[in-house]
Amino acid sequence: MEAFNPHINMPCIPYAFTTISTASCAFPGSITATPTPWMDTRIWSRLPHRLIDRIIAFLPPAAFFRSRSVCKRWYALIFSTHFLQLYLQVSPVRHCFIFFKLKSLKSHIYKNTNPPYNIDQNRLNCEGYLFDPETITWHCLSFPLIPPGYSPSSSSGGLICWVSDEAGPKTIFLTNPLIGSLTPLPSTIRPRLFPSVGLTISTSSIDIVLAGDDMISPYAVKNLTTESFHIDSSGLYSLWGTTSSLPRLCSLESGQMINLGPKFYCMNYSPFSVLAYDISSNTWCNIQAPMRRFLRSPNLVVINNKLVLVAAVEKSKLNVPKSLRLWALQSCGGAWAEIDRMPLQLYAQFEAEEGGRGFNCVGNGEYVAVVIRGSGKAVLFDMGMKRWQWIPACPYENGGGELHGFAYDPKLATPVTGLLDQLTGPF
Amino acid sequence: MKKLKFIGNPLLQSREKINMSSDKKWLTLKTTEDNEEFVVEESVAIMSNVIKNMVEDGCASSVIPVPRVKGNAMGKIIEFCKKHTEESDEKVLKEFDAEFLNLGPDALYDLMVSANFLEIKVLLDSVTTKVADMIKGKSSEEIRNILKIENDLSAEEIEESRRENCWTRQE
Repeated sequence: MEAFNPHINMPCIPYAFTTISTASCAFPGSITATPTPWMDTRIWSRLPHRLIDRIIAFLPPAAFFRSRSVCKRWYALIFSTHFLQLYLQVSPVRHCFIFFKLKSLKSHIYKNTNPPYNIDQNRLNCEGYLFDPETITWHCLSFPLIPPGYSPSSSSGGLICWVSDEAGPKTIFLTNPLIGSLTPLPSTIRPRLFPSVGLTISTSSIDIVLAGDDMISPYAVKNLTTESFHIDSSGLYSLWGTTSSLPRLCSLESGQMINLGPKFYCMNYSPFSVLAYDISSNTWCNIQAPMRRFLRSPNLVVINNKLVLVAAVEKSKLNVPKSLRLWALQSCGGAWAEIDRMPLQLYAQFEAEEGGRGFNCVGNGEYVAVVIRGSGKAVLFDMGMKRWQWIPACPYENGGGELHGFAYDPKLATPVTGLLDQLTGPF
Repeated sequence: MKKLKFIGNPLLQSREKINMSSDKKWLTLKTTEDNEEFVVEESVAIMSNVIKNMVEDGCASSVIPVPRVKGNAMGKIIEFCKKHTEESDEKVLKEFDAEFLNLGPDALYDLMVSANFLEIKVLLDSVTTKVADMIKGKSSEEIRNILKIENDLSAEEIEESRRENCWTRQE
């Protein structure tokens, strides 16, 4: 049994979790005043430690952190390499979403180069709202270590990527909100304003791509180039040295690039198409979008390992009812097939709420969240069960402000960041 | 008097009626605690890593002795492994597992410990998930009572742990 002494210099975990369950049904075995006969202590107290650890590794993050106040041994598990190795082997993947309050980008362009960061900006950065689509619950995560002047740009492999807001070469770091870790990356080379960011992290590699918004002068921005970063456990690395040109006349909207397999994808505007970047060959190509002349607010997500385009369709001249549709990119890489659409009744409600402002989509596992711009309202689509429903409002975010989200799979340990520790000196 | 148990076609009454076709290999597993014997296809039995290693190393004779596992548990385990070998549809398997794990605490505990001993990952993970689901809604006090764990955290340590994460608020 590992000794736990609070006076030893243990890394403290600087986060806060709060949770409000909005599910109406009670879980079987939830809090009861008297022990149910199922959990007979005569039987379960005989469990060996190894099997108890295995059960703990299967707990969802909220329950895991609660369990730490059971005893010293359980408290210390999160620091135990032995436990974390077991956790990484057996813990089931949890497909969730994390939302942040959207910082107005305009406020950066019009302020002077050294804006005095007021308290509100800091507060925006300090909180993320975790949404679990399986239990339809919201949780609040705090990020006290994030310095001002950074925005969350992407998430992968349990890590969240923060990019500096200021124009110029970008500084980036990765955080694991569950353990409060912060790992910096070497800064990028070309000055950019608000590039699109693509991130994909596996257990043994990290790939990051920054595209577009090259600053060709202090006041002019053009979509010219991409730079990418790669590091993996076999020793291969490229510290932003890999660059390539973007296709001519492309118009990206600063945001997240979506990863599927060896490629990153992002939307190109006027006319709508999809740009695909191949990591290994360092090349871009263009994919035509389905019904491109009739799309409104197109978004790219990955559902069940397929690239899916989600957009509203409006054919003003033909007698086609307005709808919100999903198309999946076929394996040939050039054609799309419609896979689903929002039920008409729900779309009528959605459209009334949306009022033409547009929407952003986030996908993870079998779920897609369609978030209305300028409001906190969103619809969840479960592709496995073919079920659409409004998501209950986030109880932590008062003010109904716009939420900006990413697919996020919470993990208690992200050892891949060890690859970065050897690269950068003290932050 | 030996008891032979056949997991499979319930109409089969005796060994002679089994079609001992040459392309299917059969093993007999004998639980040494209560001397029950189970005839099982090799492809089903090797879902257990322990048995798989024995077969591959050539240690498996006609009858494989299995210590520490009771006859009831062995029967259930074979039923699980057979279903998982035959069926490939994820949804069907999920439904099967949910129904299969509707057991009393004694049986579930035996299943968990046996699956761990025999190294059957799929079964162990299913049972562990079920037990984790039962535990996840419980307070620390309840968990301590069930698992007979002594509370060795001081009041300050508990407070610090609560400050670090406010999940303890269940609303």
